[in-house]
Amino acid sequence: MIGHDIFLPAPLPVLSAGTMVMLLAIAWRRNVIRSLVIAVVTLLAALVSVSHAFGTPPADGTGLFVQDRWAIYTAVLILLSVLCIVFMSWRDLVRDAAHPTDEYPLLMMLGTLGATSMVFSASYMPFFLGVEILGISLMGLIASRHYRFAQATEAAMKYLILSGVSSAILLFGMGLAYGVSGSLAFVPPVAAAGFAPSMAQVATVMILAGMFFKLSAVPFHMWLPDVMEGAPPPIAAFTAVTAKIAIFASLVRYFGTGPLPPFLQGVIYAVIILTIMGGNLLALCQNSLTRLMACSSIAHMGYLLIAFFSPGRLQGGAMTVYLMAYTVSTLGVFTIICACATAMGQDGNRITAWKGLFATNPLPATTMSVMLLSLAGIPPTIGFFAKFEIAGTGVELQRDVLLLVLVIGSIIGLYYYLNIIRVMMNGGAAPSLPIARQPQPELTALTIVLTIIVIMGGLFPGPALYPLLPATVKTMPARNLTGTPPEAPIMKTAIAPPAL
Amino acid sequence: MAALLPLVVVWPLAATVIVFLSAGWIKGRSAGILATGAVGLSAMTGGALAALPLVTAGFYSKEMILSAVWRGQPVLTPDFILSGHLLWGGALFGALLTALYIFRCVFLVFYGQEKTVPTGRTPWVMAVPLGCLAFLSVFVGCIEMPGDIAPVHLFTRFVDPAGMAFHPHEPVWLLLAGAITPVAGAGIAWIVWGRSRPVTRAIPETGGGTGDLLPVMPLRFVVRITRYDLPDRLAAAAGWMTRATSRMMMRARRAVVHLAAERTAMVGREGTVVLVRMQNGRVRWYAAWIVAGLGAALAWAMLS
Amino acid sequence: MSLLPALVVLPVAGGVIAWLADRLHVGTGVRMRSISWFVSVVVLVLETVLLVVESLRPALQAGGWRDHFFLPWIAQMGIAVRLDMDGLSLSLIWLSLLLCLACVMFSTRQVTVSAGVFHFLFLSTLTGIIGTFLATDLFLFFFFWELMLVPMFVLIAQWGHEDRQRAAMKFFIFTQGSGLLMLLSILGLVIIHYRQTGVLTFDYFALASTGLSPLGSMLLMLGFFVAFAVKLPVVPVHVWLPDAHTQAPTTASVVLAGILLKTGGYGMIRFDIMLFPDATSRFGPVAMGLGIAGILYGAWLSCEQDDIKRLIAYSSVSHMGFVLLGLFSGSWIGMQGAIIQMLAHGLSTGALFLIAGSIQDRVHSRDMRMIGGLWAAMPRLSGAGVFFAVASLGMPGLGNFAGEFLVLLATWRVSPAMAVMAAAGLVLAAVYSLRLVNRVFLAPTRPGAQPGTDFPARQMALLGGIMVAVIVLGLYPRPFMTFAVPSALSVTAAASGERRAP
Repeated sequence: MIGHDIFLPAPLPVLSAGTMVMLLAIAWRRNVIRSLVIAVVTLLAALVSVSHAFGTPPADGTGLFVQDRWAIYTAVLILLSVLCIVFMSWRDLVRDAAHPTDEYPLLMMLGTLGATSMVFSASYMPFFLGVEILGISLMGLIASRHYRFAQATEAAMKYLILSGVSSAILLFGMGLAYGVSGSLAFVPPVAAAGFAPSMAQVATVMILAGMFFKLSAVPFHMWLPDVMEGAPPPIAAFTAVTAKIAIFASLVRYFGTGPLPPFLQGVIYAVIILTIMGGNLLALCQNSLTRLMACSSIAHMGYLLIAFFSPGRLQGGAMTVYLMAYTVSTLGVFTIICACATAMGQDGNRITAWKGLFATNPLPATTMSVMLLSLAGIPPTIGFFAKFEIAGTGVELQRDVLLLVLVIGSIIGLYYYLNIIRVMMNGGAAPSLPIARQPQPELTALTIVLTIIVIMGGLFPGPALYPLLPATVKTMPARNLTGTPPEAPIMKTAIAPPAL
Repeated sequence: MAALLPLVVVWPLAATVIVFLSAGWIKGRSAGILATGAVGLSAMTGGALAALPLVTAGFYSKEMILSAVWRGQPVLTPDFILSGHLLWGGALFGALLTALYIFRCVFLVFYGQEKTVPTGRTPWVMAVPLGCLAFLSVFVGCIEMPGDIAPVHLFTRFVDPAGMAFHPHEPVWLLLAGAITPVAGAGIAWIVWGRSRPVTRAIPETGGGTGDLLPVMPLRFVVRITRYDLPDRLAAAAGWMTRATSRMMMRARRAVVHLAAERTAMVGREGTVVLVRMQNGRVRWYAAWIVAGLGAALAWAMLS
Repeated sequence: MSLLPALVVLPVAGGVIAWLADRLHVGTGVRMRSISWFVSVVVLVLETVLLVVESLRPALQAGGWRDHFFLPWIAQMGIAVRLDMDGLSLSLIWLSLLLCLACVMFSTRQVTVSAGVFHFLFLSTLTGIIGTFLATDLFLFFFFWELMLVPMFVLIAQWGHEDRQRAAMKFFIFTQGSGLLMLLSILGLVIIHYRQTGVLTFDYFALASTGLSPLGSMLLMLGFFVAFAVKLPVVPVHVWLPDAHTQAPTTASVVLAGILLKTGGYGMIRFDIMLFPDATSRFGPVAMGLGIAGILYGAWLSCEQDDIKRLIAYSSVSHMGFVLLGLFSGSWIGMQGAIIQMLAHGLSTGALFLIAGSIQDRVHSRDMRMIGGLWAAMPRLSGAGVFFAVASLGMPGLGNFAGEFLVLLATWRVSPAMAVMAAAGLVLAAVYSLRLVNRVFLAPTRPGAQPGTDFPARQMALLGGIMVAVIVLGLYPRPFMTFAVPSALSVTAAASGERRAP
């Protein structure tokens, strides 16, 4: 198995090589800018090589890695989001000369490596390695804040312990799965002869629970608000975006896009309802913007799970578009938070600190409104189309309760997103954020790029629907008044899970 | 009978118009006037309204109504038929009262002691129509007369040429009764208000000699009733009750809306309090929830 | 070449130019301060020209549809940019354009704070509205339906009066939230059609031929109905309207009352009645009951108000009750009456809000107890106000009466008792209209009141044009009754008796 016949998607060795180079450079002489440049170069190289691979995939599907369209798409999303996060944290890192922080880009590269490994994995081993690498890197990154050190450390400790608990559950499930099925392939285990099927089910449930922790589904969500509040804003974005993309991609890979096994239906049903309602209700009473984004992230994962739970014609496109919409909008919000925060101290965490922003800084205020509208699902943003697709998957399978919960959750979401916009418009008192700041061209450029993606994605979401849709697509060319129905196509699922 | 309707509406209408015109003219000049030529005009119109016999148009229209009513038998319900005679008597009493009030008005305004000095002249714009209408109110009756006096039926022929209204001959005493009543009313009015004694502007509360008491007492009673104005008070009371009910309902509605808003806010707050209290920051609590969630999921998956 | 996409896109493009013009010319003198207003006027005039050209075209096909535009958009989902115009949408677009012209003539020039953004948002709302009236692709309709609320929210929240934030939030959450139920109905219809024919499409005409079970069609119709009921508004869910109308600036009030409410009625005609005729007839009694409740409740509350704009807002609830009554009476005459009522109400209430806004600008108060004696100081304004208040109460000879009468006629055939109750609303309408006229224009002047300036000639000329329109609608509604009706969904549908005999 190990040797020249291994199949390795190219981004993994590229990222590893980049990390090595950065380690060597740091060992030779500390220089934050150089480390950051190496990080950017590595990420770009990985992006370029994302569809290449070393070796050929094994014919019987027993390899460690797989590289289909879903993996490539989610890997691209991860790499681009980390690129954004590097730009978000550039200025603070460079300006902070008192505390050399070369480890920051290093840990970020390692985290990206872990996430990418999770996405490409077809076996338990690279998946678990990826989970652990991501988790440990995140721990260091969360604690890398110097001006609110106590909170940062507390957040990191919380993440360490709770992540340890969930990893333990995950590992136990994987071990049980191996014991029951005798194979390490990344699919729900099928009990071999002589073993009770319920053991396989227990293993599946434990792996699912471990994944739900990383996905911050209720009731495994409690770590996310505290961790995101303690971490610096770019790392909060990393937790909310990159880690979630990776784990969701793995979830879809693990269970495939067909109907879920019957013993899991009730569990997932309950988790979806709890997640959407819990996330939205929690976000209602938050005064801190970062905590609000954490709770909204919980709710959005709930919406994504509706699509995951509803196999059908619309499922693939829905998941793809929603991941993109969620990524871009959340990254946009955090970019603007970084742009409006000062290096030390106030980082615009309190929502009331954003009062009157439209009067003083119209550009961040407008782009923030666009991002919030996208998260709320209002046209002409990409978030609207994404929510539309999610509702479509639910309607296709007549998940009435889930749709009702989706509607209620969206209405609650409207309230707290609009509340922020309202606070920004409230031009009475003087705003608390300092107006005179050094110009930050890279953050401004990043904000504008993300806003353009959000609006263009809302107006022309077609290209985002490609990766997972089935090959045969039947649509109406023009108005057909005679009304003779064409023959029905055969519904295909998008990806076939690798066989055992 | 239907052909009568336009007829009996037109002449009293014209007379009323004249009275209002005169009232407007008088208002500009105030009460107690005598010696202007328009006085005669107004007296004429007053007479037209009162339907003084033979000389006014109102007489002829009232005659037609009275004779028709005498013959009529309106059916309220299949077994309750009103007698036309009753209605005729009531109409006659109404004619008496009409004459009474209009001649009171004429006597008080034009023939009493002068209380104010009239000023100004009547503009010809007002005087000419007044004169025309007065002429008409006197002489237009000629086009439709009761059969007993002279068989002229120009108006009915104009209004209803196809079906000629049937004109039976009524007893003559009917005609006489209808003629005498307005004159009697005018007479009573002259007795009470028109004589050259110091003018009584209103029904005297304290009587003079017994000679005045007889006609005065029923009048005093009638005036007291009409001053009370029951229909007006009923309408006002209905309006007041509607507004009070509306205000009550408005207060109830405001209370309900306030309660609903409060309850919604409370539910929102209470609903989230549970969730918020769960975020207490303690790691062991979070870890416990993770394990509890896992256990619940396992239980559900196994037992379903 | 179809002009429909130009009709839709021109206002927002003009709005962007207006905003840019304002940003680039800021601070160079008084003339330049109203550059965005000038650009808006030009854009609206161009739009009117386009609409005239569009109106003069002969109808495309026998079914009554005048124009058609098609552009593939998201082919994988069967979504395309499909725009279609028939008599009903053309009439409503004319109404929108007339009211927007009135707004720029009257009230948008007074906005000095961020005028460029104001005009941009104002014109974007117009784009959203025209798009809603023209879209025949269900996704595109939903897109424009949600889109036209965002600029309105910002208009109210930023330029409104004392309680504007709360009013804007209520408005947005109610209308968007109910829109989500319409989303579920749209998706349900599309998925059912897909299961039956294997074709995924959002085309209005194709979906109209979907076979639905009685329960299915009732549920889908109710989903659409809830969204349009919140917009119309229908009585239990009308709570956003009084605050939104009162706290909005004059321009936004006129657009809200004159046009946005009509999108609810338009949606009911185009989607509920045309797509689900059986479910509509079964739901008829409930909807008519709600209509009557709206008429009486709106009129009663209107009698109790002291705030001018709030009074007019509640009167809108009452008038829209007539629209609901007519639409669900199940007869063609009822629908025609409802359409006439929509047109007349848009004109008269829009003008009333303009006048109320002008009064507020001059007297700085909306409280009727503080205002009085405007007739002596501003005869033109008062005369116009009295005219439109009288139109609003349903005076025969003016447009509102024509609409209300047809609706009552249609209701009488269904249920005389309901017609009697609805007619009682007319009495209450007289009470509140005359109360308004009495207190604001005819009452004696308050001591210490400073009289404002009267309407200049050009504004009076515009109001005169609206008055003429209202009179024409009232005296000779027949051309509107035959023109402004929804066209049949297809030739076969028209033949198979979709039209009910009056």
